[in-house]
Amino acid sequence: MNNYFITDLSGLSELANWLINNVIDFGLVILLVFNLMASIFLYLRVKDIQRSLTLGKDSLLAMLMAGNIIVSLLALVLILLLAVVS
Amino acid sequence: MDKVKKGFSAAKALKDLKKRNKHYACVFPQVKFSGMEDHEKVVLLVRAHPIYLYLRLIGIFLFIILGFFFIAFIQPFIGGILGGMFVLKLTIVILTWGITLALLVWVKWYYNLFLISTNRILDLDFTSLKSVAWTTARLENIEDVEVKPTGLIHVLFGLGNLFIQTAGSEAKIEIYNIPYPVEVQDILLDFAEIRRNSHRR
Repeated sequence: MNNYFITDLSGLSELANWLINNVIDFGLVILLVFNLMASIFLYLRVKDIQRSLTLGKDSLLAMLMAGNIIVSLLALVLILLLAVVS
Repeated sequence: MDKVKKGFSAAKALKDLKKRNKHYACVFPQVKFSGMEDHEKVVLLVRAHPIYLYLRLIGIFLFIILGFFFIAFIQPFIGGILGGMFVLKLTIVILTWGITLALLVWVKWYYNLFLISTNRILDLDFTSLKSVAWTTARLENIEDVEVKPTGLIHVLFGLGNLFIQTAGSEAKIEIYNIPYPVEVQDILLDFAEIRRNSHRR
């Protein structure tokens, strides 16, 4: 009679580790993509308001928002690099 | 303003606000908005009291701190599986989200404002990333202004909610958590009366 049960589980454990790592990396990347989208929306919204309302220091505010987009983009690139390296 | 000085208490209220010189209740600010008429001037700019901004920023700071506690808590359990890079990755995500949320909260506070010009009132509500509401009403259409302080913060800091009843299509304008609500009410009612009187002539 043939034995159909899997007896060697070491490969399965490695597969589980690989899956957990990739799923978490994917989750973090998705979080940062959302963050980047929020930053872009915020920038566009501020520019939209500034078209109709001038309060002073408007360019400084727009620069701050643009800076936030750059930070979000850098964080996303860094996470992707770390995911590739690890 | 010359008209205001003749027996109207708005002049005193404006003088008081100018003397206090707060950035969230600014008299004669350098503000321009689209649709502004030639001789129109912005008399008063009011934002919600910054205590609400500080409370939200403290909330975001706590979110970041709790995130780091969470990392420190789960590190012994999953550090072996996920490796040391996981902590670095999670830190980057928490800090990036923290910065974006702090900016969002600040922009929402900064662009939630109420303007009184010589011709009209303008209420700008930055409710979310998706929607920004502009509400304007002519001063002569203002029928009633109600001040309602609610809650402990309002009592402690002398704040209030302002409900403006107008005759226009936007029947009621609501402005929340503003400083010096009684002074603002005074200015609004006096300006509305001046505008109505000038229209009758």
